[in-house]
Amino acid sequence: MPTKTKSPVATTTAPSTSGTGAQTPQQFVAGVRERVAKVVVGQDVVVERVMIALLTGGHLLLQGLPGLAKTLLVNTIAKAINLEFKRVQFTVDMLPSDIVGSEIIDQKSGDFRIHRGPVFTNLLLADEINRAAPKVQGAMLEAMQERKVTIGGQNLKLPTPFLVIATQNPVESSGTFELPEAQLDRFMLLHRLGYPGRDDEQMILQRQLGMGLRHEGGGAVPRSAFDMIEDDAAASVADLVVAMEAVQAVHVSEVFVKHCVDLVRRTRESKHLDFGCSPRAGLALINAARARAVIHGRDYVTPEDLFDLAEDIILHRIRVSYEASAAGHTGRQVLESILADLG
Amino acid sequence: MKFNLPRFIPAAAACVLTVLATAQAQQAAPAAPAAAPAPAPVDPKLLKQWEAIATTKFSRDPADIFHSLEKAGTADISTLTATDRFITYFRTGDWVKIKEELVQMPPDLSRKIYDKIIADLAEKQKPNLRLEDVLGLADAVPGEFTKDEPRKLGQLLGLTVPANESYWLADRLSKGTATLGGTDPAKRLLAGRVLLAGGFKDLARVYLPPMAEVEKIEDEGLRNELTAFLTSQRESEAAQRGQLQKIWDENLHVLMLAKVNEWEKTKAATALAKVITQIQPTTLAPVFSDMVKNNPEAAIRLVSGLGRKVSNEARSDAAIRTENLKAQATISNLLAENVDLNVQPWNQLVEMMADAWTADAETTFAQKTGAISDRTKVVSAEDMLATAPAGKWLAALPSSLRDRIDVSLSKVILASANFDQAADRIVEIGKRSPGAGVALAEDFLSVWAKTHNPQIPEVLRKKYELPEDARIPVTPIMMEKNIESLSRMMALFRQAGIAPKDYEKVVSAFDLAYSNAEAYRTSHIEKVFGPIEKMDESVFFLILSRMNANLSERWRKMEVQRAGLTRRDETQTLEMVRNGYKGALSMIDGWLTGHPDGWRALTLAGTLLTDWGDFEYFQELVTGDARKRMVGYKEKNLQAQEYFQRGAEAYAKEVAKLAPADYSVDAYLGWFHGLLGIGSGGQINLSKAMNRAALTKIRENMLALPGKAAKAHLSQFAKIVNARLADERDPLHEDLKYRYLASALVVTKDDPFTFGAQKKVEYFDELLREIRLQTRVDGPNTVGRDQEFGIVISVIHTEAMGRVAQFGQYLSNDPGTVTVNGRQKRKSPPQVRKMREAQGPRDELELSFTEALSPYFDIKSMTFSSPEVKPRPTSQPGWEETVLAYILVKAKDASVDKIPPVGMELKFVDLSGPVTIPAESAETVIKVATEAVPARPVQKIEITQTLDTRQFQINGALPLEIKATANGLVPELDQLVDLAALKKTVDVRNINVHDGLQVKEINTWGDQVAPQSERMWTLSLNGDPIREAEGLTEVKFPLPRAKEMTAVYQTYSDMDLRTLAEPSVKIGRTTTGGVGAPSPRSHLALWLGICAVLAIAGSGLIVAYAKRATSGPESALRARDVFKMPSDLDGFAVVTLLRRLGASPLVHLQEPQRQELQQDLQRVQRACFGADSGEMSESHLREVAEKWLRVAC
Repeated sequence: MPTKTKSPVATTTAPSTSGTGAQTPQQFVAGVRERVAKVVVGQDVVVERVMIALLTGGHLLLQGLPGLAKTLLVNTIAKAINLEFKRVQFTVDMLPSDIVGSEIIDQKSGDFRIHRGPVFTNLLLADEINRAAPKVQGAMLEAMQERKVTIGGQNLKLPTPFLVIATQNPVESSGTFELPEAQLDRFMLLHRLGYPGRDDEQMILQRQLGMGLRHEGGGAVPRSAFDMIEDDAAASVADLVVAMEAVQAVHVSEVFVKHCVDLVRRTRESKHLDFGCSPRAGLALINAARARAVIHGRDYVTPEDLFDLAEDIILHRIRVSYEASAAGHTGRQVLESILADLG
Repeated sequence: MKFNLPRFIPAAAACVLTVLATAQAQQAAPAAPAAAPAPAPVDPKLLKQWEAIATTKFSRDPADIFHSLEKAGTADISTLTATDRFITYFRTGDWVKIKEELVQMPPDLSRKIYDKIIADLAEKQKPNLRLEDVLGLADAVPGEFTKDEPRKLGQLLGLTVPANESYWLADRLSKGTATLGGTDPAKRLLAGRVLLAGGFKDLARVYLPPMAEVEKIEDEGLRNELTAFLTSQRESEAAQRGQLQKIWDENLHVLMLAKVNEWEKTKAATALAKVITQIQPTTLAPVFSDMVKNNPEAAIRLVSGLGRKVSNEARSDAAIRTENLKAQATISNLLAENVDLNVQPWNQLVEMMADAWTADAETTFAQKTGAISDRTKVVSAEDMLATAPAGKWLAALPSSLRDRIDVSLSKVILASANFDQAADRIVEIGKRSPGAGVALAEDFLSVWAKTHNPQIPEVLRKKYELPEDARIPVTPIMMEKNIESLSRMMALFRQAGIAPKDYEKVVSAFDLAYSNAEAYRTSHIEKVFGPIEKMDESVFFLILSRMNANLSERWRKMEVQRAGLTRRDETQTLEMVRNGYKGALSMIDGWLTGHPDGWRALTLAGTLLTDWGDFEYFQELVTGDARKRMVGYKEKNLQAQEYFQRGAEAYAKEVAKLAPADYSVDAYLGWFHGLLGIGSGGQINLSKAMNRAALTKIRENMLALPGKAAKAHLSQFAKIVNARLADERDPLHEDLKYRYLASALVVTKDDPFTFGAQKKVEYFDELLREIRLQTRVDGPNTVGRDQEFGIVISVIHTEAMGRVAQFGQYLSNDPGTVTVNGRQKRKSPPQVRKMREAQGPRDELELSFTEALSPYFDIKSMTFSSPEVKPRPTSQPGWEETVLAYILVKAKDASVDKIPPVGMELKFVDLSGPVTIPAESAETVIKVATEAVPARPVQKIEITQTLDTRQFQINGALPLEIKATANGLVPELDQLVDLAALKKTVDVRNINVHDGLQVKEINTWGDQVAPQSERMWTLSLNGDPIREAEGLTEVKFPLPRAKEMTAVYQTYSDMDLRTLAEPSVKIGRTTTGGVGAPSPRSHLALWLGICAVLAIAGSGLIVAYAKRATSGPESALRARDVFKMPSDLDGFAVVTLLRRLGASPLVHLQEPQRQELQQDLQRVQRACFGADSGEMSESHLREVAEKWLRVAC
């Protein structure tokens, strides 16, 4: 029986980069956005969603086709805030221990020691999470929920902040394990990524044209957008903490809460839905609305926050009934009609 | 692996072959070398390939072998290069081909390759060769062996054959190969040299010539080698012999001395006994004879010593025991010559030695019959025969022991290669002791069966990786020979009155004699077992049972036919099986002429016919008419009932003679199983309905038994039913369980032993009390003669049962999951046969409903509820209705007065596992009226009429599509719309009714259960007059006949479908359709007009016009239609309203207005959602909302 040791908590303690103390939330947001804009073209909404997730400690699931700069974006944000970043490509043959870590025997001492998996990081990009077997998804989502993992009988806390940004490809279904509703519910936001607009796409190509080569040793490779990520951080974890505190201070009026409850309850009562949202959706809605208010420089939430975030928070938590589906209704349409009735 | 032989020899190779042949001829006749023609030049390419072989590393690693096998299996070997071909032959062990290849090569090269093969193989500790490979390699030598090759081959042999398995080698060499062993002195010499090099010295001695001949060998090296070996062997043997003689002499001397004490003498006798087996009989005989005469005490000690040795070594290896048996035979025979064996102690000593022999004889026989598998523990039958008590020794033994020896001797003969020679001896023994004769006859049959068993022995099966049932095909000639042999023996035994009593053995022997794929022939049965009518009941029953089992499990299978090499096709196989059944039945009939009361045979005939009936219906050999199959099935089942009845009656006659302990219910059980569809091989036919009349007959037959027998039989039957119920290892099939129990209760009724079964059935019936299958019509019970109407089939059940029964499972063809012991388990498809071939539970239900309803109704369609169907409340509290199906039907004729009962099988799980219980609905009375009847109830009729004008301008085609949907059955077109108005403006050429009435789904959630139906018609209108007419013609759509019906009218504008506000449309030569929609020409005119107006009226009017033109008359949506004052007025509602007004394209605001809107929005937001500001009052909010609604709308 191993002795219980003090819980090893990995905490990132990067100093504030401003030099003169913590940035204001607005400065923090603007700094990160500016840094991202240098590397990623467009994707403002995704940046905002990642920021919301960061500020609220929720997790984000990005659904989109490959090649939409998901990894680049997350990598850039991690670098911008000086967060530890790891990326895991989920595959069907993965084991839970590949994510959370395992107990291994030390050949020299003969004792068991903990090998920490990639989950021990600040920002984890779980690429194509729906490719992993359900038990791996389960282990991952449990870590997300509990913010700790158990390895060899020891409870290990995950670093703070801890944010998972998972991606899934909506097109391929062969060889994938769709996340069940209960597990989707663990994600605060599910954002559906679209293709960039024409202008943005043109800019992406033009940027690439001027990148040139990166010389290494005697050889060279063409530069990619990853080479444009700046190594120095635009903000620190302390700045992030200040912004998170600001989120907690955002005022939520009674009428807003009432309408959030209305929205959630209507999803449960809709005849077009097999089931509606859990109370977790209401909580997510309010938290995300607060974060959005901070991002937009407000200290109170407005109906606009609700309308803007509803799709990303609600849509993955409802299921359209067979009858409604047969009649051609989609989840988005049902949600739109609920939102229309709300006002 | 069989290779494709080279189909041609390349020309060059052929030349080489010719040259080599010539060269060999030259070698054979060295006197005329000059006369030989010069060798033809070898193709350089081929020569290069051959030379490449010489540089190859020869290895037979499994990976290489598999690689070559793949190559040989996938490619024509003749197409390979000479190098690859040679390597393939080498790796696959085709030494004959290797030799063929070698002899084609130039001699030097072939020798070089041959030597390299041996050297490469000998390099390895495990060359992966078998004995046959080494011998094959030896035979593949190109020409004569060189000096060194036998030695190298010997080394290879030593690596290949383990020393303890040298008997295989001895056996193989004794037969001889092309180069080694056999009888040819030269080959024997070579074999001796090879064996010597391989370390098989003892065996080498056998093959090497005597010293005198060895000394004549010219080759000095060889001569010296062999001389040295033989000399050393001779010296060693002489030393051994001398040592042996010394022990013998010394101990013999001690034994003969008078003054030596007892202990010394016993010790000496034991020592003598130990070496006695190694003393030559020629030495032993005079010494022992002399000892018996002059020193009988010493002789007794010696014999006792031998006896002790034999006894102590009774469990030793066969070699030691064989030597002991030989020694005791020699001693016994010497004693018989020199003393009176009838006196003490000699008589007892020889008896003990005879006993020792019989013990070994039994072991030898046991090995033959398979009871002992280790052959090293068993003395061979030949050695046993050589050492058996005989002559004076045998004569001196008591008669009982002599008889035993006789039996043992017979067994030993049976265990020998010439086992059939034992038959006469067995007959002789049978004359003296019939019991022993019968036992021996049975043993004889066991040995006969073992010898004739075509099953390939396990050792060989494993070696060649053959399947477990691998057997040698028994050809017709072999079969005839086998039957001939068996019948001859059986006739011999029958004649001697020692016919085997264990008929199982006889029948097994008969079965083995037969080909696996051939049905028994009566002539053969009679040949072996005697005339049918005189056959003993038990043997007859056994043979028929075996035949029945083979008919149902073996002979009908095409794979058996193929394995038996019969070349029968499916039709011939079907015919053979039919003939088999026919033959079996005729045999029973024949036997019954001599045994009219043979109830077993009668019951068997019933079972046979039941199985035959099932075969006729379910056979998959030949596809045939289903009706004919059914006729065959029914016919056989009817005949079966007759036989069962006769069997029961015959048993009733016999029962009076039986003691209660001998009572049997087999006659009734066979009948019972036949009725339930349980075949003799355990196969189940679930299509048999419960036949109460026949079951009652079984009961009546039992009750008719005299006295207490009736009750006893019923109880016995009930016990069997209970035992079957409790059998956990082989539980009753779930689909059969209920029927089995319910049927058994019809037979046993209230017998106390069926209490368990009764409880079970009551429990099942109780389950059914909470479930009721119901049929009803979809409206009034009076329906028209030609009217289509619906039958709703539903289950009325309690709420609890609805949860348990999961009716949704019957509405899908997915086998789904069943909960067994709380765990979800995938349900396996039933391993039983049903006449209804269903894909899944829903198909099963469909077939069941169709079967029940089709005699009365024409079934138009059957629509099932979705598997997620929710139960509906009923008027009875606590009860619910789950609708299963809606069946659209039409009565076959006016005589139909009811909906017949329909059935379904409900699946439950009880403590004994899953069970299927049949449920049936009650009849529902209906009336089929010949006079006119009202239409079926229908609601919510929606009609969509679409006038398709897309082809009108091109070919005048003007189809009007009328599609109607309804909750209920959509009525006929003339009851739906009035076509008169339409016909006034345009002719209707024809009406296409498409697929008629279509039921899309069942509405089980509405007030009434009703079908969601749909109907479509296409009216082809005559557009030619309209096209020819000047100007536009108004076409009026047919109007609905009832106000409750909703109608939508559509047509095409260009290629876009447009909804019309009015039920009419103007079309003409210059139009493309659409109300008021201008034609291309009028578009142009209109645009010119618009341009003019634009110039005059300004941009405001343009916007207004454009808006009207794009939205169309039917979609002129305005802001006032969309934006209303919120009912619940709060900050959220007002902010939302203002946001929407600001974003809506319907609202047109000036920039200052837009800015003001944003300001108001911010104000309300701050007031209602901000932390510091106080909330706005409702009146204030209303004021803001009203203001902006006014502005926007």
